[in-house]
Amino acid sequence: MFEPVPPSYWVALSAALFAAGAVGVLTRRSAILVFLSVELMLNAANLSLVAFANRWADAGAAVAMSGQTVVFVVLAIAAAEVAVGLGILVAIFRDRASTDVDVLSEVRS
Amino acid sequence: MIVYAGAIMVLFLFVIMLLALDGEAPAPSLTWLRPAAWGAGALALVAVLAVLARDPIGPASPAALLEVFAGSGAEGVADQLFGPMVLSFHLVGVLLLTGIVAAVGLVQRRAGQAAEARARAGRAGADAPDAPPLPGREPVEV
Repeated sequence: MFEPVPPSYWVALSAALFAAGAVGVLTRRSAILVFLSVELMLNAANLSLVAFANRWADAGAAVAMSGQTVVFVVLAIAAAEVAVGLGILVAIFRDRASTDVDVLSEVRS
Repeated sequence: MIVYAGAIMVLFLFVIMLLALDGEAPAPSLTWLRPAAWGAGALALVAVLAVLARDPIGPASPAALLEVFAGSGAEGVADQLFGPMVLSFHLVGVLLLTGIVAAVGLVQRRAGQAAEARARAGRAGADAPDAPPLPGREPVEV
């Protein structure tokens, strides 16, 4: 038998990633870095979901796998968000030659 | 996993766009926001770590882990996706389709405008600049 890693470690790492993402969203002024921080937060949530799915392996395959399946949904949502977001960002960058969120605070053409 | 390939592609995109990034201006308009954000982030992290230190989450039993996650686990995920979560699975499909249409629509509109601007510049004179003018900063045609 192997020695499983306690899920505490993963949840701690997830909290660190989420905190880094939240600080990034609040302090960074480049829209690209804001997007990157949002991705960081989404993936921190994914890590938490996987960790707790692992934790509840005792409750059976259905419960354990439901956590991993939600990760799939979150991944797809992140992909859609980034596709639309980066599309808007590229369009705005062509328009204003800047991705500074302070410059973009008034979105008028 | 096409979705995951998309995530990796987004990573490359981030790196490429970051390469063209010049330094951020040092003076933010909200001077209190930066320390407040660091404080809030540190507070949240410390709170979670304190809860974990006080009440650690133990691992599941190795026997259960070996039984549940035997093989790749793809079967278990598929059972969930096409069983109780089939509705959200379809909603994710709709979401991805909407995202694709939106992204293509954004690019298409931009390409159409650029071609139109080039055509207008070609009509205006022979020495027109090759680069499409920035939309929104074009002189208003009366």
